[in-house]
Amino acid sequence: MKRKGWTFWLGLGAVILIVLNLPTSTSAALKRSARDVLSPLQSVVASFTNRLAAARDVLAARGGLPDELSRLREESVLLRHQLVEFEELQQENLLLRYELGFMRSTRRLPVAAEVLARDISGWWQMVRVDHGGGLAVQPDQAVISSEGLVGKVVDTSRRTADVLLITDPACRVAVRIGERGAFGILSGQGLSLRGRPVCRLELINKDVRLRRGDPVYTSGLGGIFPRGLLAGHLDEITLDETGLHQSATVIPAANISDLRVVFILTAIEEAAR
Amino acid sequence: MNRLLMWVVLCLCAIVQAILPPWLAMGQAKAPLLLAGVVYYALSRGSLHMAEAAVLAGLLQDSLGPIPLGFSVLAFTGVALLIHQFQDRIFADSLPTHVLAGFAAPVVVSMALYVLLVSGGYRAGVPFSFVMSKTLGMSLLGMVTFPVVFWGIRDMEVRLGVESLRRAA
Repeated sequence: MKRKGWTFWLGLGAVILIVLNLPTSTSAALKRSARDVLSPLQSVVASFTNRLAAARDVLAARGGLPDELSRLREESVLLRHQLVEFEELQQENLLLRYELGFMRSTRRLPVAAEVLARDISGWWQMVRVDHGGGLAVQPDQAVISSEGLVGKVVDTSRRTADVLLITDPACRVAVRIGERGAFGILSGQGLSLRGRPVCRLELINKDVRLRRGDPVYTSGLGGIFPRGLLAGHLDEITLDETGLHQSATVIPAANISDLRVVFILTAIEEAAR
Repeated sequence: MNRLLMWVVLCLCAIVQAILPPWLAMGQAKAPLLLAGVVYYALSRGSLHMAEAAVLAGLLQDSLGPIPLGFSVLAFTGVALLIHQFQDRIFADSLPTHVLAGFAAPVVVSMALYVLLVSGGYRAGVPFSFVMSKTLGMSLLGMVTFPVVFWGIRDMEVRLGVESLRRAA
């Protein structure tokens, strides 16, 4: 009986030690396999909850739906018109790049992905999305929603991708503030005391006049996030203790707390012809 | 059957826990469903089943999130062993036990994970106030979810005849 007890303790200790000391590549492969195995089930649950949420939205909107529909129709016509113009500009841009000797250019193609789950432990600001097995989805690609910047891909498996949200302290984004010519690094601050997702922008030149509500866009520096994506809007603006710089809290433009579908900006290289 | 049911229950707990929205005002606390499953098996089964449940739940939590593999295994196994020690001294089937376990177990797990994550340099910038509010949030959610999960697993066991097998053993 005593021997059996010792065997149990030794076995349990050995399992824990082995799992804790697995090489990084092995543990990453194990984690990806587990995600792929569970992703079909997660996908079913996620689409069910998304439908429930959509039904709730419809019920909540009620009388507002016809107005919303007509607004969306107008927006659709406008966007189609803009798309035609942009395609012409893109062709022109490719031609000019060719004339200047830039043979290749990078185009970002958005891949729609449904949000399957949030970080299971709640220690990270992260969501898992189902990208449908697209090979073009890779780490360090920007992720957006219809409202603005959401985050970046940090890990991928065959069907899923982990997206680190801009509100996570580990996520840093190079940004510029509207048309005021101020640049800075936006870093996640998690959640405010009221549970609102927030980011922080520090070391802004004190001479730049900032106003609450000023839009914050990605600057394109750093290579991960393309230029011009709306990241959020300035909220509280304060002067540092030294009086040399300003800092500001930024409210993300995307509804980080209620993400259902996001778009991964995959990079596709194309040659100018 | 008994073991298969345990695996299915823990996988379901993991999937539902992952999809449930976090309690934003309380440090993004999530309902500790996986932990509830582990504590259920620690209170109602032998050492081997308890250890298997703790290791499997830990692996699931680590695999479905960015926590390094093994951290949750260690935390869940610690809690399971602690609770298993009291198995014969408490009323494992009573509601107050479930509520108390739902309050205490998340405290141990979130503190253990905090120490492991900070010492490993994975969450160095996390303020302690966030951890405190997360712990409190998880404990409050645990007080509600533990009895529900316990009742759900027990009900499934009774329907599948696993309960009578367990009692006979």
